[in-house]
Amino acid sequence: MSTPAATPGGAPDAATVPSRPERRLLGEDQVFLLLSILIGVFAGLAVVCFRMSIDWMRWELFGSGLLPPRSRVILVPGAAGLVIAFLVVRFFPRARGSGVNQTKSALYIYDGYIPGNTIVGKFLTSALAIASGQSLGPEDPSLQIGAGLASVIGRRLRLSRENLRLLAPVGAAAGLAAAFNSPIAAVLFVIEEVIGRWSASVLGAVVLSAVSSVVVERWFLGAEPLFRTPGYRLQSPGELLAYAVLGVAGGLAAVVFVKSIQFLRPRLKALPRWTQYLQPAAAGVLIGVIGLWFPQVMGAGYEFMDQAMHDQYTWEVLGILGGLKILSTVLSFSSGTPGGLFAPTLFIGAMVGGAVGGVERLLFPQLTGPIGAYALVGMGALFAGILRAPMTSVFMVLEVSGNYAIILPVIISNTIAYLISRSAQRTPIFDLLSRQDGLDLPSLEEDREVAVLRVEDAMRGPDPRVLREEALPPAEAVQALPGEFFLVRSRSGEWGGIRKDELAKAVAEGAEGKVHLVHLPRLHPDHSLDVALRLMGDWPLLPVVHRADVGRLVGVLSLSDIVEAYRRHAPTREELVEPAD
Amino acid sequence: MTQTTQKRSNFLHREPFLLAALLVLIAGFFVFTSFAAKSYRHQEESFGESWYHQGEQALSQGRASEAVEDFRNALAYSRDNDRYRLRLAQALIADQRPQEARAHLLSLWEREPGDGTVNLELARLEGRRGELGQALRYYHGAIYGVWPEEPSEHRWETRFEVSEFLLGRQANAQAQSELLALAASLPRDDAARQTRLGNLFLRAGLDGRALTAFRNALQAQPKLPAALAGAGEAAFHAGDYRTALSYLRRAAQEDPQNQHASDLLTTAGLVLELDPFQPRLPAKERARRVVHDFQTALERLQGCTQKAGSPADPSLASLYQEGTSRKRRVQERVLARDSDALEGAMEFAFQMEQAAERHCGAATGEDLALLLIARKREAER
Repeated sequence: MSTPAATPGGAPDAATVPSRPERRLLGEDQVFLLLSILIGVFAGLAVVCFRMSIDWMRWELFGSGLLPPRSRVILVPGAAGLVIAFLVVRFFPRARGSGVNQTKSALYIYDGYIPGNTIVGKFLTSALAIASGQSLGPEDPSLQIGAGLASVIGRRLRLSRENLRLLAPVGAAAGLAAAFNSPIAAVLFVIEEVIGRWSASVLGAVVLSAVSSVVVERWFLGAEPLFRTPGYRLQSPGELLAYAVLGVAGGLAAVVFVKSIQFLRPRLKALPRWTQYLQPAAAGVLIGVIGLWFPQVMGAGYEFMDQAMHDQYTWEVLGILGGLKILSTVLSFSSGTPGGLFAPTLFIGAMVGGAVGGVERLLFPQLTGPIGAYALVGMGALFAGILRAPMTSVFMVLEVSGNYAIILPVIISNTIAYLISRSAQRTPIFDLLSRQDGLDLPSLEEDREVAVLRVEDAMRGPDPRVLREEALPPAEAVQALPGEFFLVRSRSGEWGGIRKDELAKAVAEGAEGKVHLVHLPRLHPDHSLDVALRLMGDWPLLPVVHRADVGRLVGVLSLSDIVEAYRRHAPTREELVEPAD
Repeated sequence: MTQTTQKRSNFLHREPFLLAALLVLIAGFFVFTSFAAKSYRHQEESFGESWYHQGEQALSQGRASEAVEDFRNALAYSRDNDRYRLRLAQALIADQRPQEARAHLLSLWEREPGDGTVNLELARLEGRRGELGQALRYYHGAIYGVWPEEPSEHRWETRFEVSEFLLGRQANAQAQSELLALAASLPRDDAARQTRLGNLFLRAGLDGRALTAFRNALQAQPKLPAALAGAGEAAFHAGDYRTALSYLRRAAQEDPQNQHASDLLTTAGLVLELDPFQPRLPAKERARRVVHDFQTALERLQGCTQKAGSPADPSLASLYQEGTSRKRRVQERVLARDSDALEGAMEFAFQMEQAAERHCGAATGEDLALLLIARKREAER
């Protein structure tokens, strides 16, 4: 915050004190952090209202029972689907989808701009969709609502473009944290999937907003974790094998889910425009038909996940519910109904995990882990497999359950599910969706996988342009040396540079021991070539020295060496072709 | 000043006003959300209680399956409500779904490991699963746990339950320690519980302790039929047939329908009538009883050897032959003078009864009385 310079009389008089530094209470960075807190509070309040709205609507549509009355199971999702489609097509086209890619678009394409009506549209249509039984969740919409609020506030405050772009993910983290009641997972997800980089300023803002939104959410809705899981203790390391099997099952289920969306969504999008008015309703009716026998698959389904964790279903029922949830979520999401994928992912994971655990316990009665533990680990496995955010998936499970003892099985299962999903489905789901929408958003998973080129990949060994100060060549030999610039190791062991003409002049004047060397930045073999490029500047050659002995030269690096290294490691034509999916 | 610097300066100058406006907006939103959340919570509580009461009604009418759904609905509105979760678990138990109930109970136990009710329900479930160790752990959790109302009563009842549970699994030694602990804490004037305690002591084989418990009960209620019968039985098992006779007579007067007590009374009377080793008995009477007892035993053995369908056991036959030959020497006038002969005759009578019991099943009437006298004699030695 700044205050103008003021005269003793109180009136600002810039003319009289032109050079006096601005008196500001807070710098722009501090203002940004303060804003992050306020955005967190705002987003937290919005998410609380969003969640309450979903429940209110559900009570109105289906009554207060967990299982909807059969008479409304088909009618309500169908009718609500018509209303949702009308609202989305006519008024809120950007409310379509989960909300994660929309936030990434805002960050990478629209300079952090998210229209205000998108927030309203997302709020209304997602709440109605979830409440009416569409198989979608409130987390991703919460993320977009948070990002949208941040964007609106940033624009009102006329923040710089750079800060406006940063503010969207700050709001996204706040929205997600409040929706999940899990600040760490939200921060990690936004860093892993939306921003894609760690930096102190961004991290600080994201953490502050996530924490403040969770505080608000807990203030209104309670501090208990999302799930109450029965206690778990790993009795023997051999049991980890059971969770590894669950990881395999989770990975396969994730692939089925993503491939199904990959297949159905573009086909529904390709249908004539007028069908967009009917698609959510058609999806709703189909889900309603499923709901006649298995109403658990309707809506976000948190209560039923809780039941699965409390051993309330047989493994057969759990398996059926997992399969039907995949089907119903693919229908809902592909039809363009606004709503998130997080809750369905957790639902599928809980059911698949519970089913696998049930079968394993049947086959190996000596396994001691409760079904709840398998359901919980299954959630993480599906999260890692579908959303491909491995770090987030681990912390999400810990936070939503408040159960740290489960961490080993979660890590094992998530890693296996992630690897299976990656090998069978090259493109992560959010990248897939953005490409289906014709957007070329950066794929953060692909970015993470790009090999970093290092100085050791480009440097050359001993070079004739490397000299020692105590053994400089005679004046007549200098002209015969190759190159116009030389690296010289001083008597003190430092590395400096000198141009050929200066060296020739210094040697000719017999100024041994008084050669004026220019200080050079030094490189180490493990430096990335990006760092080397930044340090290279106009220097024709830089020394690459040993980290334990900076006087010891291990190679030299020039700009042409860097370019050559990048050229050598450039992707082949085959690699440049877009994956079939 | 460049354009960017100008913009930044504008922002920084407007900043206090804008931030203040934002704070006001947040405050307004906060107030709105507070009202909305209050109404929301009220609605949730109302739904939760409504489903809970519906569940209670269904459970009390024996519709456990409906009660389960009702309690589940209630729990959906208040996931941290332990009362709802406990009732759901109990409804699931009533609906024969112990595995589902167990998961809820474990969840409750983790929150409140010292909750008496939860521990007790878990103990029962583990008991049904045959997990003796786990069941005992939870039973003790219930005994030493927290009971919001009437804690002593609940602890006594849990001790009774765990004792019965252990006796049902022939874990008598463990049951005895539970019963001793219960006896130490139970009020003496609680006639009903002292009677229950006495009966459990009887089942655990601690007859003396059982008699004490029944006597405690009779001090509080001297005419309590169950306590009278129990005291009689305890004295009977302890071999104190005179005391047993006294209690059992009173029990028969108070409750003539008690067939078991009546049978014991008859047997105790026979023991006292037939026992030749009772103190202060005239020598003639002692000898008469021995002659009678010997004859009774011989007849029982004869009946046993002649039992239709059973091949005659050589040892049984030889015993009978020896008995027949001895019978000539078992004369009242001889036995009245010769105590060794009396002892010998009685010992042989006992042998005959025991052999007959081994080969021909449980004895009744006078034969049973003779066996009891034999056991008592053995114990006195």
